[in-house]
Amino acid sequence: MKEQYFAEEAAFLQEARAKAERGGMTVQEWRESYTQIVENYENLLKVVQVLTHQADQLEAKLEKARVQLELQRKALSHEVEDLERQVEYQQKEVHKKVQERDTLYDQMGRTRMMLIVLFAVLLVIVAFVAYYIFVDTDKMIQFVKKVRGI
Amino acid sequence: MRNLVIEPTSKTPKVILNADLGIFEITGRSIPEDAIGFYRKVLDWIEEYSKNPLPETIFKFQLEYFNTSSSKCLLDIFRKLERMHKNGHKVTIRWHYDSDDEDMAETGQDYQALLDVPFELVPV
Repeated sequence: MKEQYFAEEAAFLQEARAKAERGGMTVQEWRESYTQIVENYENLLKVVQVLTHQADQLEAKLEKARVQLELQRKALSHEVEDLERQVEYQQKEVHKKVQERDTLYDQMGRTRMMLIVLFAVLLVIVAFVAYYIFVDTDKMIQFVKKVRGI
Repeated sequence: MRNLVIEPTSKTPKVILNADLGIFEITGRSIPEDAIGFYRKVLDWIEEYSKNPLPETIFKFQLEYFNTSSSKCLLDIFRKLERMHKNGHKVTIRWHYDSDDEDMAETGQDYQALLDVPFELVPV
């Protein structure tokens, strides 16, 4: 493909070579051909100089972009490290909070159970008292008399 | 003759070659892998146009970035326009560049020095 970029120049070169191989030209014709070759060579040299200069400019641009990318990569890498540290810290904090919550739930569970038991005991006592007050009143009267020593 | 319009892509520039309206523009970025394949149509169009051009041809180039092979193709376009100028037609090349882009200004100056055709540098 690279030959296609200089197709015109390559065609001229081929023609000049063929002309030289054929020979049989007059001095004047040789001089004209030589002048033409020099002119084309001069043009080609200028083109090469321009292209080389532009290629250098592009390379410098790419190098500048590469350096900027490297700096950004390093900055991003630091940011990622900071974020990872923050995430690790937050994970520990969350774990700690979860443990605290579990402990609190355990305590609440125990307290709730105690209250239920206490309520049940109270209910039994109330039921017991109510039974003697409203159902077996005689026994209650005897019990009160006994307590008072009557 | 039929106008040539090529819509831009991320790697190729926008091309408008409209002989009816007298608009000749290549704008954008030019970094195709096969630059010769892309510019072949443009070169052929200009070759055809040069046979019977408008009284005045102003060709605008406004490129933000291009690779080396595109640069050679641009030179081939300039050479065709230079030939038109040498054949007695009125041709002007306008090289538009970002006023902050020193490289692109310098590139325009390189082309200007290389060519024998009116070549204007236009900062934008």
